[in-house]
This record gives sequence, structure tokens and C-alpha cells, in this order.
Amino acid sequence: MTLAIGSPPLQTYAVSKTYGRRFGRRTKALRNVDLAIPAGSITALVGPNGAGKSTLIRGFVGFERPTSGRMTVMGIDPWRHRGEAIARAGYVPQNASLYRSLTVAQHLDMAASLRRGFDRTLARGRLRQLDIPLDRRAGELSGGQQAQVGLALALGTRAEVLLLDEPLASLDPLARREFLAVLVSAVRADGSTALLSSHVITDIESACDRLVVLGGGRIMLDDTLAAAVGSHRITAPDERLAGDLISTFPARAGELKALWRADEGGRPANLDEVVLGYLVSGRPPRSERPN
Amino acid sequence: MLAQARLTFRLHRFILVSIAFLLILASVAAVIVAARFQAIGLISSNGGLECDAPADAPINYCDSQFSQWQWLDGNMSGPVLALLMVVAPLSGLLAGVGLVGREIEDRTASVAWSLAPSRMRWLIGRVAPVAILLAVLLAFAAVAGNVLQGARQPSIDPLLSFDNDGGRGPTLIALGLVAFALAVLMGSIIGRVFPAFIASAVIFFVLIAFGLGARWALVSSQAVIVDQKHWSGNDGSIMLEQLVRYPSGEIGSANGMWWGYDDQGNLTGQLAGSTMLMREVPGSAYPLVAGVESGAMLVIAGGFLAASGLVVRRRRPY
Ligand SMILES: Nc1ncnc2c1ncn2[C@@H]1O[C@H](COP(=O)(O)OP(=O)(O)O)[C@@H](O)[C@H]1O
Ligand SMILES: [Mg+2]
Repeated sequence: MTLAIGSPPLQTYAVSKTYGRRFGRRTKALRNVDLAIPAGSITALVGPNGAGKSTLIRGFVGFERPTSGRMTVMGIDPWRHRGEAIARAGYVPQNASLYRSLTVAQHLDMAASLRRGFDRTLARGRLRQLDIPLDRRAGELSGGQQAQVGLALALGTRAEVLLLDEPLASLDPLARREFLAVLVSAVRADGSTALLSSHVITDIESACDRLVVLGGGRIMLDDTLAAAVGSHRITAPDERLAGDLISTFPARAGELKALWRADEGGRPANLDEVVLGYLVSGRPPRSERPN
Repeated sequence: MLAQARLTFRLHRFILVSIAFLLILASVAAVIVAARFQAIGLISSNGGLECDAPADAPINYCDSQFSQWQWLDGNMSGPVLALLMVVAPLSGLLAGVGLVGREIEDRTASVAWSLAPSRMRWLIGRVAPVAILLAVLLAFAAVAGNVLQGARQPSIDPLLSFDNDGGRGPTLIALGLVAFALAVLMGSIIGRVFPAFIASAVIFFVLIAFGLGARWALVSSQAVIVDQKHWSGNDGSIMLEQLVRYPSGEIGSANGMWWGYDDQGNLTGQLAGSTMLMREVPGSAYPLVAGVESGAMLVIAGGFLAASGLVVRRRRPY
């Protein structure tokens, strides 16, 4: 595993993004986002639709320009020096956007023709392992297979940073697990750093080691997965604990639950409850994020 | 680069095969019509056509040859040359509009532009192979147009004639390429194939309208005044106006005068002693005009492609 020398692979400083500034209908997609994704980690970027996940990830590949603030990929500003930043990142866009008429092998040819040092052998090997036919056209693959091809393209770059935008969204549970297994083994093997967004948190627990919860363009929670789960407790809405009440949120079957940042009392929270509790709170936790 | 070219052809195979079909079809049609002119067997002489009947030919042999020729020229050469003039820019538009536009519309640009540290290289890998293929196909059409023009007027070098000049020669190639570059640009800006096609077609026509104005200024600057006696009217020149040289040597118009010709072909009436003149742009000016107009269109096409580069560099891939 590589050690973080200098700055973290992915970093943002007070990044805000407002869409539609020229046309009146303004949307604040990101508000004052400060993030530092440590090297070698796999971070889940979780939040509901419209939270700003894609906007953040697209910022890292130089597709969106922050309205204010600064972001860096391996210390490089992807807007000012896009080529250099891109050369250090592998990206999987939301909805595997493959060329329907090209075969899988032709996708690898394309990647090799565009990116110096693209590791065709590695990508081909990974796809073979998954029994994905290289001579099949992308348009004739299943959703899961297309996602795997998208991942293989990103992994073949052998980039230091992997950015994956909702790669699991259209996959069935088995394909989700397979996808994450490939991702984890690649990150562990290469010592790269991955940021993976998702609006569902199923399966993430096994693959990721960090959690960033994004809600309404704000960071609600940013911690290791273990700490995020370990430091929160669940109680009935009227109970009191020695700690910080994050929010009271409706659980399944309509009953209300309270999420506490506390070390004891109630019962341990699970990942769903932590994410939901923070999203409902609509504010960053005081203890974590000053101002 | 070669791998990129292969993928580009692969990606746009359908449209490229279609335009190749269109352009080759139109070129072959032109060559076939030209061959039919030749098969009729009239020969050129002194700027006109001459029928050389074989000894055993029927009495009306030459009449029939001439009327065949006239039918062919009246019904086939015009439409085929017009077809070339339409197909060339249409092919350019079709070939160009999807190169960037479709990738943005289908979102494949997101993948390509995240793989390519340089979007310029990506763009060149898309545009260059198609531009070269298109130029080669257009060159066939341009030559076929010249061959047809040469066949229908065998006594006039098509490279020294303004007749049908939009449907042949370098002008045809330039028309196709400028439409292509415009379509690439609109595809890059709009990011959707169909709206970009409509926009490019409309802008193309507007540009042609302006271009014809500028061209007319160039063409008329090449005008000369010749004695009407030496003017045949069917020699590849463009006739501008009829003028008169009065006995005083002054040159003016014949408007509002009453006049006629005597038996020797001299002017009578108010124009007695004058000479009829013709202001025309001689066919010998064609190389200059065609060269300048093609050159200008190629420069504009280059400008459109450079602008596409700027747009691609700056825009979102979706
Ligand atoms: N290109 C765009 N123009 C205008 N608004 C946009 C654009 N992209 C995203 N948005 C808006 O920004 C907000 C965040 O979007 P996005 O980053 O796609 O969220 P997520 O990926 O978490 O679903 C949403 O309200 C969305 O409507
Ligand atoms: Mg999204």
C-alpha cells in the first residue's frame, strides 16, 4: 500500500458549485465541501439523488468547474491542468457509457489509443476472469457486464485514483458483489485510491473503508466506516443519552428512532441508520465539523 | 493514430458507407452520362459540334445524332451536375455532424475524455480520418463532374469554363469540406445529432448566400469587354451586359435606342457607325475564381475545425 506523501490523493477546499448561474435557475449542487480522501482507501460517497455526488466526482475529472474553492487530484487542479489530472485518474461515469457498436476488445483498443500506458493485458485478464466475451458488442452485454467493462477501462489505466459514479446502480445483488470484489482486489493490488458514489448503501460495508455522506450538497459525515458505525447509538425518540443527538428519523414501519453520537446506551447503530440519521439531520454534526 | 482511425471508421461505419455510396453513385452517374455523349460520336470543331456520317449511314443519320445529343444534354447533364452539387455538401454535413455530436449525445464522450489526457488528440483522431476519406470521395465526384462537363461541351476545356462550376472541380470539394467542418462544429456546440444537422444545414445555406455575394464581386472584377462579333455566347464565359461603342469612341448602353443591322451586319439607325460590345467574364478567369473560392472555403473550414477544437476543449462531455 502506498503511503500518503504530501497531500491526499483527492482533496477539496471549500468547494461550492452552483449550476445555472447564467440562466437564472440556480441549483446549489455543492456547498463548501472540504474533503481529504487518504491514500489507499476505498471511500463510499453516499447520498440521495441530487445530493451532488456526480458533481463532485465530475469535478475531479475536470468536467465541472467549482464555482468557488479548489479541488486537487494527486495535488493537481483538474480544471487548470486537466490533462495531468486525467492522466492520474480512472473514471467510470454514471450509466456505463460504452460505444454500443464496438466490441469489448475494441473498447480496450480505444483506451490504449487514447491513454499512454493503458494496460490492455490487465484489463483483458480481468474481463476473461468474469467470462465477459471480448468479441461481443457492448450493446449486447448485460448491465452488469457493461459495468464491468467500464471498470476494466478505468482499472486498465493503472491510475493512482479511481472515481466511480454510481457503478452499482443498475446491477443485481450478485453483479454488485462481483463488481465490488474486482474493485477491492484491484485497489489492494495497485495501492490506488478509490472514491465510489452510491445512493444505496447495500453491499458497501464489505468493500469500503471510509464513508462520506453527502446531503443537499453538504458533507454530513466523513469518517472511517468502523468509526461511523461504532460511535453511534440508536434509541427510541423519547430516550436521552449522554452524547449528541443527530436526528430523529422514521425507520421502517413508520416508527421513529433517534440517532446519537454516543459511546453507550440504546443499541449500536447499523450503517443504514447512521446514513439515514445524518441525511435527515440536514446539517453537519457539530462535533465533527466546526462552523 | 492508425488505431484511432480504425475505431473512428468502425464507429461511424453506417454513415460513412452511406455517403460513400451517395458520392460514388453520383460520380458514376456523371461518368455514364459522359460516356453516352461520347458514344453518340459527334466531334468538336471550331467551338461547335460536327457530325461525321459514315458512308452507309441513313439519310437522317446526323439529325438523329444531334437530337440524341440535345436530349441527353437537356435531360441528363443538368440534373446529374445538380445532384453532385447537392450530394457533396450533404455528405459533408452527414459525415461531420455525428463525429463529436453523437459522442456527446450518447455520453460516450465521458468515457473517451476521461481516458484521453488530450481532447485535441481525440478530436484529431475522429476528424482527420473522416476528413481524408471525404476529401477523396469528393475528389472523385469533382473529377467526374469535370468529365461530364467536358463531354457535353467537347470544344471547351472544363477547366476554362464557368459552366456548371458548382457541380465539379475544386469548388465541389471545398463545398463538401466546408459543410463537414461546419457540421463538426455544430455537433460539438449542440451535442445532439439531429438539432446540429438542422442548424448546420441552415447556417450552410446562409453562408452560401453571403458567399455568392462575395464571389460575384470577385467574378465581375475579372470582366472584360469584347466585340460582339467575336462572342459566341456558349464558350464557358459569363455574360454580364451588352454595351455599345459609339462612333465617338465612348462606351455606353444601347438602352432606349432604335437600331438594326444592314446586310453586311453593320449597325443602323441611331447606332449607325457604332460597334456592339459584350461585357463578359471569360472562361480563362475560371481557374482564378475557382482557386480563390475553394481556397477561401478551405480556410473557413479550417476555422470551423479550430473552433470545434476550442469548444471540445472547454465543454462538458454531456
Ligand atoms: N448540468 C447541470 N445543470 C444544472 N443542474 C445540474 C446539472 N447537473 C446536476 N445538476 C443539479 O445539481 C444537483 C446535484 O446533482 P448531481 O451531482 O447529479 O447529484 P447526484 O449525483 O448526487 O444525484 C441536482 O439538483 C441536479 O439537478
Ligand atoms: Mg449522480
